[in-house]
Amino acid sequence: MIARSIAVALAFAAVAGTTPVHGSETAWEITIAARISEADDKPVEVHVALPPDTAHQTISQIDVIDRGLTSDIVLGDEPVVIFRGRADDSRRVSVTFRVDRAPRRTRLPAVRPAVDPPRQALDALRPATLFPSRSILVREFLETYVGPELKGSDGDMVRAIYKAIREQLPHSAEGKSLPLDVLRRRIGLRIGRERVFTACLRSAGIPARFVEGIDPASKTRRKRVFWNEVWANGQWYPVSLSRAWLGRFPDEVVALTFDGRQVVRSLQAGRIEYSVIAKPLPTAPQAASPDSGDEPVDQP
Amino acid sequence: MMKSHRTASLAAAALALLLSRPAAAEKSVHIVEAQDASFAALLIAAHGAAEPVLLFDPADAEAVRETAESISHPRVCLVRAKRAGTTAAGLLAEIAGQPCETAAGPVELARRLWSEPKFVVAYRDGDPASRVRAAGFAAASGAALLPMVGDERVTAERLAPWTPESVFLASDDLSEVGDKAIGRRMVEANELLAAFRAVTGAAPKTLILTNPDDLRGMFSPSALSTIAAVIAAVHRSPVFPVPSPDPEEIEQFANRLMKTQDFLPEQIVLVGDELSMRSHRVPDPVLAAGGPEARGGGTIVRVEIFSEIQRDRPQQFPVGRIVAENSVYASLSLARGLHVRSPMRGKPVIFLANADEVFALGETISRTTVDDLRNVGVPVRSFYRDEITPEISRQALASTDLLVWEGHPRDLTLEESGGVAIESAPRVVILQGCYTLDRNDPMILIEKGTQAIVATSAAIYSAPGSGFARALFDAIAHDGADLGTAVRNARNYLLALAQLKRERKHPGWQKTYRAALAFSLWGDPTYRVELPSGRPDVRPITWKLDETALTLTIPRRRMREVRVDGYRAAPAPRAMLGGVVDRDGKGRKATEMFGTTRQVPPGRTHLCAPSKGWTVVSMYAPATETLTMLAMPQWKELDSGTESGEFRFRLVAEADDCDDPEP
Repeated sequence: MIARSIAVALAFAAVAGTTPVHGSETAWEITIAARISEADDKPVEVHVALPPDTAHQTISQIDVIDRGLTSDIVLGDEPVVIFRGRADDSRRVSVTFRVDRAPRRTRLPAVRPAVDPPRQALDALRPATLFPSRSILVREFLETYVGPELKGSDGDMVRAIYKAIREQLPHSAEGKSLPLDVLRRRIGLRIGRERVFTACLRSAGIPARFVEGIDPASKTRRKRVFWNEVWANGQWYPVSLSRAWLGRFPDEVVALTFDGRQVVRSLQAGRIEYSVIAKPLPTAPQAASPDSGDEPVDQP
Repeated sequence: MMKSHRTASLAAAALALLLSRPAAAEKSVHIVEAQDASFAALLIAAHGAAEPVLLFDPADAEAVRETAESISHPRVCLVRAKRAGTTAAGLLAEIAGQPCETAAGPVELARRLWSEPKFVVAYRDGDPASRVRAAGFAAASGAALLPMVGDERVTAERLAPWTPESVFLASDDLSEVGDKAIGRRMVEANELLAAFRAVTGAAPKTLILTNPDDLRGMFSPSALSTIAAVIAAVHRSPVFPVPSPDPEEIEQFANRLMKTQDFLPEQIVLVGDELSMRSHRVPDPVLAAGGPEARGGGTIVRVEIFSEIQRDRPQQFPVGRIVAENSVYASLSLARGLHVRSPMRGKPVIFLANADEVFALGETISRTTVDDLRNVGVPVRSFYRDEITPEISRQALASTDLLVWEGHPRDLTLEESGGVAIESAPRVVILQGCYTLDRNDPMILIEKGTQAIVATSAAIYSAPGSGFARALFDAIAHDGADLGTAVRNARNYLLALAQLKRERKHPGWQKTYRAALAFSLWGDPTYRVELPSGRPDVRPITWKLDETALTLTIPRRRMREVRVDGYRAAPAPRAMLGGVVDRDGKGRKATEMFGTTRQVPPGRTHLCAPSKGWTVVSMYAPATETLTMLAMPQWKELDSGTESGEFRFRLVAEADDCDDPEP
C-alpha cells in the first residue's frame, strides 16, 4: 500500500485563484473510496474529483492511497486525482482530504434574465445534453407553468421556476434522472429535478450551473447532494430545488463538481463503485466571511 | 376603378415617387428590428421571396451578421425614426455597413414601398391577426398594404394618392359608414380566400396557418407569425390566422374552409411552434395496450396536426411546420433557404446508424437502404456501431447536405461538456431515434442552417424506425417526392404495416403504430432533396396503375444480402422492410413487403389481393383520392420458387367487391 499525504491548501488556492478560508464554521475529513473491478489486466484510468477551493470552502491535507497504481493530483478549476496502471483483480483506492467550510448566508435577490453577462456566466447559459435548455419541452414547461405565475409579479424568475418545478414535477423514487424524462413523466429523482431546474433557468436567460456535492451529514453511501448556483448581481447564489434550499444553505455541504462532471469516473477498462465517508473535525478560529454581514435569509 | 383623389399635395406625391422602389432596383438584404412587427410585416409583404428580409435582435446580432454577409446583395437597414440613435440601431447600421434609413411610422413606410398599387389591403396595425392576414395576402398577391393606426377608418382621403382598383379590409373596424364606405371585407377565412381568388384569378395551392398570438408570451415568444408572409410569397398562397392553439379547433377551422369553399390544397404549412399550434396529444398506444413504459418516460405521443393517423386513417396532405427559436432565426433560415441556395450535388448522403450496437434489425434495414441508394447512383457514406465517434459525427455535420441518424439519440450539435460544437449544418437532417424533436438539436440545427428536419416525438423501436427511413428514401430517390410527401407516405406505410401486423395477429403491432404517429417534418413540405440518380444496377420493383388495377412487377434478382448479428435481408430494390421476420435455420430474415401510395381513379377505394397467399392492406384518403397499400406475399403458398413475377391488384369500390369475379 502506498499512501501520499500532501498539504496543498496554499498552493491549491494559488492555482485556483481564490483565497483560502481562514476561519470556518465546519470542518470535515472526507474520504472518497473507489473500488476498481473487472479490468482484466487492461490499462485503467480513474479520475476522482476533488472539491475546488472557493470563497466558502478550502481543502487541505490530501491523502491518496493508490494500491500499486500511479496517482497524480491535478489542480486547477476542476481538481482531480488521476489513478493509472493495470489491475488484474479488484483494487480499492481512496482520496482523503480536509474541507473547511465558511458560512454562506446570502439573501437571494429577485433574479431576472441576465443582460450582458460576463464570460464566466456565459458558460452557464449554454445548452448541454444534461441541461437541454433549447428543448421545446423546457420552453413549453416555462410558458405553461411559470409564465402565468410571473404575470403581475415583480418578475422574480428564479422563484417562479423553483415553485413551478416543485409543484408540477414532484419527487418520486420511481422518477427519472434525465431532465426530458422528468418533464415527460411529471415526476423525478432529486438529480433529475435539479437538472430540470438548470435547464429551465438557462432557457429563461438566467446563468445557472449545476453542482454536485457531498452532504457530510447524509447517511447514504455516496452522500450526494445537488443544487444550482444562479448568477445575479455579480455573484453566484446557491439554490437547491431538490433539497428546498432557497436563500439558506447548510454550512457543511461541500461543492465537488460542476455541470454534470462525474465524481468518480473510469476512462478506460474496469468497473467503478465508490462510497464517501465523512468525519467532523475541530474547526479553525472563526473569521469574517465575505457574506457574513448579510441579513438572515428567507425560507422556501 | 376608384376615382383618383386630388387633395394630396404635389410635394408629398413627389416624395413618395422619389422614395418608392424602382421597378428594376438592385436587390438588397433588408434588415429590420424583430420587435417592430409592424415594420417587419410591411417589408416582408413588399419584398416577399424576391429579396431577403432579416429580422434583427441585439441578442442575435452575430447570427444576423453572418447570414447578411453570406448573401451577396448590398445591405440596407431600417428603423423607426424614434429608434434612431439606440444601441440596436447602431448595431444594425454596423451590420448594414451604412446608416439605417428611418421612417416615422408604418403609414410613411407603406407609401415608400408601394407607389401605384392596383390592389390595397388595409389593416389595423395594432391587431396582430389583422396584420398577419393582410401581410400574407399582400405577399402572396402583390397587393399593397395600408396600415391604419389608432381608430382610423379607410376613406378616399386616407388612400390618396393611391387610386387602387380594389381595397380589402383585413379588420372589422376599418370601414366608414354610409356613403363614405370603401372596401371589401376580408376578415373571415372564406372572405380571405375569395379575395385572393378575385385578385389573382387562381386558387392557392397551399394552406398556410399561423397563430398571431405567438407574439405574446413570457419566455421569448417565438413570434413566428411575423415571418408567415415569407411563406405566403413562396407559395403564392394567403396566410390564415388560426382561432386558437388547440389542434382540434385548428383542424375544424381548416376543414370547414376547405369544405365550404371547395378548396383543396396540395400541402399544408404550419408556421409556429408547439406552443402556438399544439400537436395532438395521444396516449402511447403501447402503454395503453399493457406494454412496457417507453424508455424516456413518455406516456403520450405528440402527433402533428392534420395527421389523421391517430384516427387510424392515412394522412391526407403533406404537412410541414416552420419552426425556429424565434422570428429572428426563422427569418435567417428562410433567407438562407431562398437566397443562398446551392444545389445538393457532389456531397454524399451520410448515414450514422446503431452507434450503441443494440439495434441489429434496425441496422440490417438501414444497410439495405444505403444499398438501395447506391444502386441508383446516390453517393452515400455510412458509419455503424463503434465507427461512430463524436469526431465522425462532427465531420458528418460539416460535410453533407443530408444526414441520417438512426439509433439512440445524441445531441449531435453539442460539445460533450455543453456548448454548440458546430459552425454549419446539413440542409436536411433525419433523426430516426427516440424523442429526437424534444432535444437541443433541432433548434440548434435550424439556427446553423438546416432547412428541414424529420424527427420524432416518442420512443421508436428500431425496426419500424428504420422501415420509416427506408420508405422515406424510397419516395425521395425513386418517386422524386418532396419532403412533405415523402414523410406522409412513409408514415402511411407504417400505419399500413401496423394494420397488416394487427390483421396477422403479430404481438406488439402497437410499436409500429406508435412510430407512425411520432414522425413529423419541421420545414417546408415542398422542400426537395436533390439526389443524383442514375440507371439502377439491380432492377427495382415497379408499379403500374390503370383504371382498374395496380400491377406489381417483382424482378428475380435481389440486392446483396446484408447480415447483422442474427438478422439478414436481401430485398429487391424498393421492397419495404420493417420488423416482420421469418425464422429459419440460418437466423432471422427480414420479410419483403411491397407498398406504394398512388392517386387512384374516383370511386376506387380498395385494393384486392391478386390471389391467395397475399396479405393486403389498403387505405384510402378521400380528399386527395390517394390509396396507400401494402402487400406481403407468402412465397411458399404462392409456389413461386423465384419469388418474382407480375401481380395484379384489382381496384374496387368496397372490400366486399373483391369476392366478385372480375368483369
